[in-house]
Amino acid sequence: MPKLNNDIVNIEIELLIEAIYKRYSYNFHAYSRAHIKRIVLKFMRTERIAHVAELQRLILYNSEVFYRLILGFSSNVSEMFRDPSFYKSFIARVIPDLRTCKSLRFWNAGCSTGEDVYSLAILLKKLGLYNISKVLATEFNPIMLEKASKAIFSLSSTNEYVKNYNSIELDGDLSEFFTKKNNSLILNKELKTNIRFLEHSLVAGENMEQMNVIICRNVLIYFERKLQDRVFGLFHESLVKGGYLCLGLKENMNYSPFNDSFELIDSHMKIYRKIK
Amino acid sequence: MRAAIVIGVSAGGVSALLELLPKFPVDCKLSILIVQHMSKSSTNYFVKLLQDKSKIRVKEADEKEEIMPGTIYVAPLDYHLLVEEDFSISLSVSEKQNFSRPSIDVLFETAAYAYQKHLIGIILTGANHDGAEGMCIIQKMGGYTIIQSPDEAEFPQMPRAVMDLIEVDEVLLLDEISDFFANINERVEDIFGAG
Repeated sequence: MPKLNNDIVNIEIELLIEAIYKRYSYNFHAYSRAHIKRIVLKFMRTERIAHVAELQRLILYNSEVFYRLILGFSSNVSEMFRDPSFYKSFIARVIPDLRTCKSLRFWNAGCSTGEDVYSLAILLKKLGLYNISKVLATEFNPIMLEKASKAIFSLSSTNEYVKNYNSIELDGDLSEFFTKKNNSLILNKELKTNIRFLEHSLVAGENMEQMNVIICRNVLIYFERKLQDRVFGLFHESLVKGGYLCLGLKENMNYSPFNDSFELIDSHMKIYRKIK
Repeated sequence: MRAAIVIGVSAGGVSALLELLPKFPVDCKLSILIVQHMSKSSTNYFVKLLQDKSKIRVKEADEKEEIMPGTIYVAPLDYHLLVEEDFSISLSVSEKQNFSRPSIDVLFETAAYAYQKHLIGIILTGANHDGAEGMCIIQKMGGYTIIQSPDEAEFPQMPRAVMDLIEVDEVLLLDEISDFFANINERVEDIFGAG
């Protein structure tokens, strides 16, 4: 087997990232290199492409190949009600405050294929807050966004979702919110009425207005610190004072200059509140 | 010199790890990174258990932390563990690989690029084929490959899948791997020195 020349491959990966940036304006410069390299080389093995340079030519001329490739880059593949303890904490520590508002704005940043945003929608329905809520779900990858807006999931995940839901100890049953058809789990349309899906990049995009809650879980984990700081700035701008930011369990603001602008209201579940 | 051992283990792995990891000497110069497939239960308990028996530090791997020598890092439940080429750790929730997250292949492949020939990959008992592709990449990058003898492993599929794919450097019994770990500083001089 030929020995892979790691240094050359690393150069090619840098060039590929630059090519993607120039051609499609997606900026992956600050993404975890180990993650990107693995996805790129795996994609090449599947598609039988010998050199990254060859892949670069393909993505420059064929956007379809590009979108298939970056499916892997952004994949924060999730499950509904992932980390049930997070939702429990959200209900206990955030919801009572939200109940004092006349209307609510939520932003699920980096919504991927929609698992988190529909979990939120179900939660709001259950707690009687859905009607006063507007939920914005953004994602940079149009294929994923399209999938999220369809609200159709694989039937094989149902048990996991139900198990997660049951451990949150809300009333009723998750099955109130979906029907099963063929091999799919189809969420009720009513969950979508107050959700808006929008293509948006955290790397290059603008801030949003007057958000009460931002949920961005397991997205920043792929960003280098500089890029994380940019996004924390974006979130800080987008939140109302007293608004909440929910990160993934392995993410934190510890080393960010914005750390002082937030208080950590649940250090395990990574729920922050903007204080200034 | 930065050098590491990556260990992949699946079903039947806890007892094997409890036997092996305490063998690493206090002055172990290598970093050890482990992916163990677990059902949905806590890694905390497992890390504590290992720490109680080990002579070197055992911890759950943290996002963006620098990988230190003489430390055992365990992949957190439900996260892939990746090694960056600046020898820091990344965690990811990207899609499952071989129906697994954490996946052995993900750790082994990224560690192979970072450590290249200064890496030892070890596959122990397990009932699937996760890790085989990773071992192949470790070998391609010049690293050293060891599997637990399928004859001895509680579940032989995982080491066997590696054998089907590559010619490994060593097929060892658990006792021999214990011995290898106990004398790790001397053994790596042989392996890396020759490489």
